[in-house]
Amino acid sequence: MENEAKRNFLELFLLLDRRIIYTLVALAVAIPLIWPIGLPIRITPEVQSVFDKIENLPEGSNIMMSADFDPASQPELYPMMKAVMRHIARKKHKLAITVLWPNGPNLVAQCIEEVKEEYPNWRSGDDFVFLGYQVGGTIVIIGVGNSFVETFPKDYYGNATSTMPVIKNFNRLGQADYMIMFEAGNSGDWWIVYGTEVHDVEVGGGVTAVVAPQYYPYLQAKQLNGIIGGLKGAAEYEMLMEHPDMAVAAMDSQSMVHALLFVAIVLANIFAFALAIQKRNAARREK
Amino acid sequence: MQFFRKQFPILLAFAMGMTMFIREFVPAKIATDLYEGFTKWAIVIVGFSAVFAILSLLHHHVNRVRRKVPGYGYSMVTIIAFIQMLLLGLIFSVRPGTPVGWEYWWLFVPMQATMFATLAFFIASAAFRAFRARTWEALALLIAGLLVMIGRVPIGEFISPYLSDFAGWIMNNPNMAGLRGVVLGVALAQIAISVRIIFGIERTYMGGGD
Repeated sequence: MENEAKRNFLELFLLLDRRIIYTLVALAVAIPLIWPIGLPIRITPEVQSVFDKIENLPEGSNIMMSADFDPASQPELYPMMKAVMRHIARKKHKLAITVLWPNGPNLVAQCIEEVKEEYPNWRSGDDFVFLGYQVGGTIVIIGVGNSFVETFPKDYYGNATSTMPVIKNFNRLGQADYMIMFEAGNSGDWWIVYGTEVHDVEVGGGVTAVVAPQYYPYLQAKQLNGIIGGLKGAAEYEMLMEHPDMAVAAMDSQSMVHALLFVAIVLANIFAFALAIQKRNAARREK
Repeated sequence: MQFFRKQFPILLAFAMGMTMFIREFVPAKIATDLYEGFTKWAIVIVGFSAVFAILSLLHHHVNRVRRKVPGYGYSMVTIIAFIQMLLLGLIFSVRPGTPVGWEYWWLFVPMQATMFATLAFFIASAAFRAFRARTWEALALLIAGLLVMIGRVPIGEFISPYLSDFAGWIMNNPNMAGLRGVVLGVALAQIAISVRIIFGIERTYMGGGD
């Protein structure tokens, strides 16, 4: 009888209504957002490398940025793009930005506006050029390797790129002192193969957690000098900038959801194992 | 006509492929000019291909509406959304503050955010039900997955710094070794397929099998 009740409990747990799981996930997200826990964020060497590179470049160095993502990846990549853009503006580096995804430019434009609020003297044309989106993927990368002006005669705002002061000493990928790419897919592979390797430009990657594993081989081969991986990477960068923002605020929620899933998966496996043993014993007894 | 449909594309692919290949080994200005010229051509060609893709999409959905296949209402939504977005973009441009910008921020972004936020709930439910160690291989995958999942967030570091280090080791060693194999395999396959296309062995890109 006791065994029967135990088996029922095990089965009930394994058949847990999905709405209960959804509710638990919602609570795990919402509660830490309302009452932050303040879990410590440790800086990983991959993120530190990207930060150090931008930090140690002489003022006015040329940095290329590619924002290859769309709103689906905004929660992870937007905070890190903002943190890096803020860093570039603070260090007064020159910046050229491209987008290889058609739904990405508006996100970059929004990010630029937010950084400009913090650094009002950071001006389009003088300090940065937002080249916008151009159809073609790898062809665009090859194009910017030849000339920004020829590949993007006008910037995102419709201004002629050829007359911009920032373009005078920064008109092709090879003139960049560093490149940072934000990737939600495999466009980063294209940048490495057709861009940075060809023109010998050091590059760092800001990537979603899902695609981060595919960029690790480049890191060990030193084809990437660092990786900002997922929301956690963005939070690390914000901590390095001593400017906690969206990513740091979301870290506790992410931690709680991961912990919830960890516990749920472990319990489900233990219970499934216990149930299998009970069933086997019951079958033996029947024989 | 048969020549232009069958032999000409193969000859063109051979000529262009070989030119770009030989160009890599010619350290002369003409080689650089050729490369830059072809790059500009390619941008134009890709632009045309985008137009074809749009026409193909519209053709597909117009046919669905015309034949009133089940779910044709969705096709109507696609067509209407496409046409209004195109017209608004052509009239007012696509920059922030325009109607297209408004639609982007107040329709497109929330819809994509909703879709991907919902995914988190489905993944949680699916992981609870399906992530089971039924074999030794599945057990190894389960342990690695759990350690990376907990070790890559602050709570993992809070529990023990070793968790984070071990998650990093998994990413930097077993994960990387496996992925390096995949990447090398893909690269070799790309070389093989390029050679097959240049020499006219692979013809599926022309459509209708070989």
